Amino acid sequence: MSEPFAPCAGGVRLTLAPWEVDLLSLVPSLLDSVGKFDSDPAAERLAMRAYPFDEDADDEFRRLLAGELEHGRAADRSAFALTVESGVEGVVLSTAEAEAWLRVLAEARLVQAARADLAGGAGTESDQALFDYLSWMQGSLVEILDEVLP
Amino acid sequence: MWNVVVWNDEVNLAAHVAYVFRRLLGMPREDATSLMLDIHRTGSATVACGAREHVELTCFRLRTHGLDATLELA
Repeated sequence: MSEPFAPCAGGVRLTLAPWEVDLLSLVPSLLDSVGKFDSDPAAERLAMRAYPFDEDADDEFRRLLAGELEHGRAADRSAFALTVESGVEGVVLSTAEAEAWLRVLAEARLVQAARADLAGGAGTESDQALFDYLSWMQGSLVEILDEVLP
Repeated sequence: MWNVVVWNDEVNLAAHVAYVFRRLLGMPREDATSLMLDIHRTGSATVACGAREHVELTCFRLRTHGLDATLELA
């Protein structure tokens, strides 16, 4: 596989194979499904909390920031979905779009790892393959963003 | 004063954690990497401290990047 991300004028160039677009197009729905069914370990991992030993303070923290959290996640997923299909022809992501990609990829890895219990070694081969691919994508993007950060 | 504590986890990429410290906390690369390794070795570390309103925002931003961050009284 060729490197999906490369630094360029104006941001980060994204280049994907068609099969990668097909795979990555599943990510927004994967994230949107978090918390939509009972006992979802991914919902626990992505939960916004700050005070693990103070339930009232934790509830207040979530209440204050719930709107910003939902707005931010929706914006990230929208930026991801709008640019992923252009990856076959090659597209330049602005730094803000590349940051959105980074958050989406990080969340997707957390969801995939939590649901498939990858840390516990219980995941299937396909679960592990998707996780490894997302890891490779995220690692590549972090490397580029780290280079361009002042 | 309150501390922002980041906890070790087995999923986030080490490079991602160090990048987030640079990006959100304004740390030099060497300091961010050292802090990430400290968390990996010891299980957690205080990454910022300050007034409650300030550190709540820092905690929120760290969590939106996937890090397991919490707050505790200094």
